Amino acid sequence: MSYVIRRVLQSVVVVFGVSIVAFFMLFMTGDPTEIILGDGADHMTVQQIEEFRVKMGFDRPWYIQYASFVGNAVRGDFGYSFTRHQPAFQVIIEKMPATIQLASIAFVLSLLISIPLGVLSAINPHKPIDRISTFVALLGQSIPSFWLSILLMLLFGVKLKWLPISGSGTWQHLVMPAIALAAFPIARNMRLTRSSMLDFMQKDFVRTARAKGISEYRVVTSHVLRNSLLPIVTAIGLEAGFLLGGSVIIETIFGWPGVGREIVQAIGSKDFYVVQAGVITLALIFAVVNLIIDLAYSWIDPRIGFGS
Amino acid sequence: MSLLDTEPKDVAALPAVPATLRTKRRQLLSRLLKSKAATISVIILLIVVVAAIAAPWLSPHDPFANKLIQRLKPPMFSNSSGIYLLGTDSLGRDIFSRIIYGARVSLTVGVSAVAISGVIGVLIGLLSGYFGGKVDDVFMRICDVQLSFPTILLALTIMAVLGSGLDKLILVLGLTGWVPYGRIVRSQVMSIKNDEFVLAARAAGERQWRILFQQILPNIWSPVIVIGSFTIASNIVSEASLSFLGVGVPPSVPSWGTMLADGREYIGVADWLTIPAGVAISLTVLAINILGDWLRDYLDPRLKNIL
Repeated sequence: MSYVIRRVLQSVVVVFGVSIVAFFMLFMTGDPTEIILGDGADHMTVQQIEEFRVKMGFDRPWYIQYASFVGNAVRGDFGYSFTRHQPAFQVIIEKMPATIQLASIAFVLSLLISIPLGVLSAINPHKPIDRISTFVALLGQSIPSFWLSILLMLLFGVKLKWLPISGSGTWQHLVMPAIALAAFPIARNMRLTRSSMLDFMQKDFVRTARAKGISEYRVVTSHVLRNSLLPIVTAIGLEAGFLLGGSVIIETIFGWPGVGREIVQAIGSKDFYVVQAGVITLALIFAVVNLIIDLAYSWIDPRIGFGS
Repeated sequence: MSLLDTEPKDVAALPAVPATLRTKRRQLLSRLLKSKAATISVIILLIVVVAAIAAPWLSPHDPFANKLIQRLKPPMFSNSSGIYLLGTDSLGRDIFSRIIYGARVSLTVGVSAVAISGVIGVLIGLLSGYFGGKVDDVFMRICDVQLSFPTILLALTIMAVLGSGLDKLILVLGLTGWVPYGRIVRSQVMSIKNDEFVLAARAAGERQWRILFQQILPNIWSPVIVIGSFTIASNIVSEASLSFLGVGVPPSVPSWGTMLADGREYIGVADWLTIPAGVAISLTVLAINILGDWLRDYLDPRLKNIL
């Protein structure tokens, strides 16, 4: 139980740290008034700028501003979006379902492809199937997702005209973004599954199982695969962050109306309250997902919680 | 015969270089040449490095010159009258020359950012692993905070506030990329800090910082080098991604990322705008990744389980 409490406290500290980073983002160049007004400041008088600063509360000491920022953020108030004309947090929440939909489909896709491929490779080491899938995985890790997106668009959108290039609404719109987002996790998990399986194949208990005359199929499924899935579960936790972060680029390219694209657009229009709301919300989701995975992990493997 | 004759003399003639270092270097080279994939990767990377260094002499055209009359000209091989090897972009600039110059941006960002994050990460990892306790707690929480931001999102927001620029980009990627080094160095230090050679140094009354930098650091280089090589690759992708989104290097600077952003506008109209830059990034990153894999297996095969 003490592990659970400690782990939860750890997450609280992390979210607190995230709030500090998100808050000070606006102060990085010294004056948030300057950042928010941007080029608009050129058309304003010094007095107007000063009035704006006082109205926004930027004239107060930073610690008071931070305290009110946290106080408001806890209540879901991240300020008002100038461009969307609604509360910044609401802007983000409305875009959340689209992001989660895309990320979860990419996630499922990555597991469905990577684990079977990794197993196939591991039980046929150095055979053609292994060499081809290892090379494809290496390629998948090396091709930047945004170029892969462009190539997919060129092939399936422009040349073959099978799928729509951008937008949302039908399942066809989801196909290319999901593949582009899943490519990197597929490659990484495949390599991870392969090396983890190969590692366990050398272990004594596997040799014993083989010596006892258990069928190769059972050795692979119930002895090797079950054990080698543990490191993969850990990697999956970090994947949540990757999928949420990766969606920033993929959503922008495919015009998918999610949080990532909203943040990029908000950055373009200097709508920093939306950026702050988006960053904190994504980090919060990431912290919660990792908390759940760590707790689940300590439940699956009791040595982790009580040992440390 | 001649080889056998000259070799001992060679070694004797150069007492300044220890024989072990020479044999190690030779070993490295012969092992490298045995792997076809690693050899090809080295050749690709050499080409990229030469392109970056000798860009002004290798480029057939000025990569910055706008010639609107020549805009969107297809590559030479698809059009016999063309004079541009890979065609021109929407402002009439030669794509081949911009690809060559783009290698400069990619390598500069990749390598400099790795240098910054490597130094920070190794220092934090050393202190955290060696001293443990409160120091370790604080650093590990900072690690957790950093890991809660998808790196690209963090870099994107900081760059948006600071404004685009090569120096800022290097700084941002350098400052946000130290976590993997910190974590691996910390775990390595923890695993060897109670080994006999460290205990002996401590018993002999060595100062703490000498133990850290002269006893422990030389023994944990392998994972740092391996992570460094993978991070060069990921930094190149990050630079391209951020430039693609418009917050990396300014649009006028020839970078593979800005070229792809430009090409995206003309997708289906002028495919030659997107293909060369994409191939350049992917090949470079692929070569670095293959070499990183090879380096990991060469330096310490046990690292396979953690990296």
